Amino acid sequence: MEGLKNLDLELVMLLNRLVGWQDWLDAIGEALVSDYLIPVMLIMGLMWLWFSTDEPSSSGLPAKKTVIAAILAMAFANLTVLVLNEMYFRPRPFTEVELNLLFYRPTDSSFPSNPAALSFALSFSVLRQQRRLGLVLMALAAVWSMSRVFAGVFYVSDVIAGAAMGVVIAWRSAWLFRWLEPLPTAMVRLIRGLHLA
Amino acid sequence: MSFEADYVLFIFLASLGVVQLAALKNRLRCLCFIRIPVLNLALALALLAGSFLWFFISEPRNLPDTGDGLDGNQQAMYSVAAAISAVLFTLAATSLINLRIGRGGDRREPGLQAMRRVTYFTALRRTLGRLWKD
Repeated sequence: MEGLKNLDLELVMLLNRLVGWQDWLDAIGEALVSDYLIPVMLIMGLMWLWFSTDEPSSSGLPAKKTVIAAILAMAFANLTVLVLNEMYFRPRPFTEVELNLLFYRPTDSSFPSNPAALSFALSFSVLRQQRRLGLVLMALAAVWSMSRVFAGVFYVSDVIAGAAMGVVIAWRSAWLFRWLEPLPTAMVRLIRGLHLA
Repeated sequence: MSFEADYVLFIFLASLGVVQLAALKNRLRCLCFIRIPVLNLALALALLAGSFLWFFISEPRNLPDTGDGLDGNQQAMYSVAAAISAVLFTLAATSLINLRIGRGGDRREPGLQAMRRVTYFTALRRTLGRLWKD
């Protein structure tokens, strides 16, 4: 266990050593690690999906339901991380060793990574139905999660646990969504009746 | 402007851009701000790229949620409010802009597809009118 902990810390230090190497790399890192760049891209991905998949031959219902399922999965992931953070507190890596931070100093628990859980829950929900867009969103989620390690605010294990949690929650949410049928279909049909879907 | 206002404006403008791109891709011509597709594409890309560039270049944005930044719940709330506002603005504005071309024929299409021929207000009026008759 101690060996794994050391490996975790060494990986953060290895990635974080790149901070300060090149100004342009720091600038990219600061943008990617932000709370607002990749999350907004993910939201825009969902908006694109909501508005762009109405092929004349299909009802377009699966895409709309995917968007709702993704939002549901994100909400569950957020709630799960919140509960886990209350039960277990892991200090951030910058409190253990000196790191070059590209981000502010978060005060909440490091484990599991909330950004990884949320972004993977959203992107995996989309991937299940819309492969191409889902892969793009998964890539964005991976970049966002790893940039947090690079910036020195998460361990690799926090991100891996968060991502795994996000995927499992998305999978279970899809199951719940199917169990709730015909409610989701009725809801989408109603929105569609108002020409909003 | 406050950080919250900046964020809401950012999402609002980016959402306008995404909706315009989607409208172009799906040939929802009555949902477009400009009738000439190339110009509408330019507008959509300008809105999308411009909103991101403005938000991130105008000021430092890595602010802690314990300070001037937004916490997760605030961010979700503002994002939803701004995105819905952008959609409502698009529906209202394009219904007025495309008033003349957006009357369409008698053919009724479901959902967003209706906006290939008619404006949002026309589509909604027809649907509600039909429901009222029934």
